[in-house]
Amino acid sequence: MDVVITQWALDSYLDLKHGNKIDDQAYKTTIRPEVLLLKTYPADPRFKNSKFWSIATDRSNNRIPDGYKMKWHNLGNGKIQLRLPVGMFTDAMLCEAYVKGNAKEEQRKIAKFKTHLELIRRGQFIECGRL
Amino acid sequence: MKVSALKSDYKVELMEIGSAMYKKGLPSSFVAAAVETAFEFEGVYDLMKMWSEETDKKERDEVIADIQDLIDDCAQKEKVEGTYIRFDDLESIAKNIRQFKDNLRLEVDNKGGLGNLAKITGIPQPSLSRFFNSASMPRRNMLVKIARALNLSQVQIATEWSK
Repeated sequence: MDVVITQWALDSYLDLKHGNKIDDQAYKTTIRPEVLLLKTYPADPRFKNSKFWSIATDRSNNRIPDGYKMKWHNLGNGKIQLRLPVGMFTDAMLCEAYVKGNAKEEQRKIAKFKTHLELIRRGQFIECGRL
Repeated sequence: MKVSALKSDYKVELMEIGSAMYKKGLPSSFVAAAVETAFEFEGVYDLMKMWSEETDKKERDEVIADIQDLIDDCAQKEKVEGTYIRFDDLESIAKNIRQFKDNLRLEVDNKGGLGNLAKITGIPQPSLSRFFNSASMPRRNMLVKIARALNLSQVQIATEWSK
C-alpha cells in the first residue's frame, strides 16, 4: 500500500511547523517512521492499539466509512496530542493533521475529514507526494 | 451518504440555517454556496448544524472558516498532481508563504482592512483571518478574488506556492 500525501496533509503540516507545534526531530524519529507502518497495514501490532490507531466517528458517534485516526500522545517538546486522519482505500491517504483540542474543535476537524474522504472517492483532490 | 439522498426535511433544515446565517450578516454568496455544498456533502451539513447549535461567537467564526475551506475544496472537480516537495524544503516554504501573506496583508490593510475585503469579495471575515494567519498554501482563486477586489496587479499576487 502506498502512503499518499494530500494537499490537506501538507498544508496542515506547514501550519503545525510554522506554529512550532511539531519539530523536525518529532517528525523524523516518531511521525514519519510510524506513518510508514501504513505501507504494510495491518501487519504491525500497533494497529491493534486503540491509543495509536482507531476508527473515526462523527458527532453522532457514527463510524465514518474508510476513516481512521493515527494518534500520538505527548509528542515533541510541546508534548502535544497529534491526530492524523487517514483514509484507507487502495492507498493510505494522509489528510489534515491537527493538535487535539476541545470536543467542538475535534468535531469540526472530523466534519472536514468526512468531506475530504468523499472528495478522495470522487477523485477531487491534490496529491503532493508519496512516502 | 449524501444529504440530498435523505429526506427533504434535511434540505429545509439547511435552508433555515442558511437564512439564519444571512440574518447574522454573512455574505449571501457564502450562504448560498454553503447550503448548496451541504446538500451534497454530509460533512458540510454537520458544520452547518454545529453553527446553528453554537452560541459562542469565536467558535461560530471557526465553523464559518471551516465551511469556506470546504466550499473551496469541493469546487475542485478533478485530481491534481501537486508539486512534490522535499521534507528539507518545508521550513523555507512555510517562511516564504508567510512572507507572501504578510506582504499581501499590508496591501489589504492599506485598502480598508479585512472587513472591507470581506464586504467586497463575499468571503467571510473569519475565513480571511484564517487565510492571513496560516502558513498553508493559498488557493489561486482566493488570490484572484483579493486582487480583483483591491485592484492589485498579477505581480502582487504571484507566488510559486499557490494551489
